[in-house]
Amino acid sequence: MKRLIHGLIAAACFLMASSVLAHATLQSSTPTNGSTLATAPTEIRLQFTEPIEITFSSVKLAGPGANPIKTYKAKADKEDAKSIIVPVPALPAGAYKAQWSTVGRDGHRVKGEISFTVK
Amino acid sequence: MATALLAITVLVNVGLAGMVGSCASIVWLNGSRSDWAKTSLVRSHYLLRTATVLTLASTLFMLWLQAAAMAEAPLLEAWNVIPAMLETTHFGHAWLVGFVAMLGVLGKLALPLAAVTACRTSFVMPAILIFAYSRSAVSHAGIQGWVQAAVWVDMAHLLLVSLWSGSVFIAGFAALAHAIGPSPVARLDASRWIRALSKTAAWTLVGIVATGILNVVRGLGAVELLFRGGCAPDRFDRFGSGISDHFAGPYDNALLVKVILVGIAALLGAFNRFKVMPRLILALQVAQDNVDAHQRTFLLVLRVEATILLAVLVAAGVLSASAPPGTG
Repeated sequence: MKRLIHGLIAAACFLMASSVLAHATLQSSTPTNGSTLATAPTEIRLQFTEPIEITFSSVKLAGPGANPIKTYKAKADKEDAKSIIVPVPALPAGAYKAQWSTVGRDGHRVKGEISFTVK
Repeated sequence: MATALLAITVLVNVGLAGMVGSCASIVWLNGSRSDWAKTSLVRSHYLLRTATVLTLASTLFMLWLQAAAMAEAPLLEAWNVIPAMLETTHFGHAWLVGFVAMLGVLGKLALPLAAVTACRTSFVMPAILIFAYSRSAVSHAGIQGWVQAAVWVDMAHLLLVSLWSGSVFIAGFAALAHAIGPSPVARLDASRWIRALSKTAAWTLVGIVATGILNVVRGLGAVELLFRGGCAPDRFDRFGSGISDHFAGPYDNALLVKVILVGIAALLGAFNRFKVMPRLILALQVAQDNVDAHQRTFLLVLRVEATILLAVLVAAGVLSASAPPGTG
């Protein structure tokens, strides 16, 4: 029985070497969540665990005092289907919060936020 | 919105099961000439048409609901995003492929019955395969793209569950739900059909378990867990603890319910196969008078099994609508 279970798992390893957990989640971001930056970023880059649908992706940026900041439209990274790039205007010093929302290829929407501070 | 999407996913699953089951029934009736077979063939064709219309209509409605969910828009405003969705998203592309396949089936089924009886199933089956692939491509398995081993495994699982539940439904409510009669030819046709159903159900169950295990291994992230340290046997202990850690959310509960329901349905199928069917076949072969009594018992078990398999399709819908553990 143990041999059978090992065999099945080995078969799964072989068959699904490229598969990972479903539903996109945020893997990394630039700026990183909770970071303090000496220089204001010119864009926010979000990298997810899965490819995402850029048409249904957005990032809302709020600055000091929770004031909304107009950002440019989210665009895809042509080299990486898992990333979103959102160009931002010049940001003065202060604390910022970026609320992101995107849709994975399975059609499921996922949301989250990152925060960073510009010195 | 989530509930509506779940309901429509279940309807698509039920429609697909009806199509696959009625196709199987038509194949098993091929070459049969008795009155029983003719009536069963007409019923199977009728169910194939009905299931195709159900699948097509629920697929259309699914696009609308999915557009609203993806755009976070009210239902009535979601029409506006459908063109962008169809043009730019993975879901939209897969949906289009599946929809065209279903339209082709409907067009074929609109032709006169007698003229296309032979070719119907041979055309319908590839179209069903394409539709099932398009469904799996937008499932959790297809998140990395169209051409993935995980998508093929998911499609095989979907088709096998559809074949089992659809053929049991057809048997319980259409093909065997009318008297076989005293004719020796009808009795021979019916025995052949019942044997084909039983054999198919047994092999289908083996396939469902195998593809189900592969799907679960992927869904619970066990492959990733193993891959972090390679597929070495010393990692297998962590696989077990990984599973126990995960059984807490809606995905895991639905998975557990689905496994239990499949188990119950398999037990009912085994009861019919080893207890009722031999008596029914014997009665049919030696022209005994008690065929009707055995047929009624066989039917009753089939109908309970079909109801449980309907619940399996609901659980499958919950699985596809829920986030696997550790995500979402």
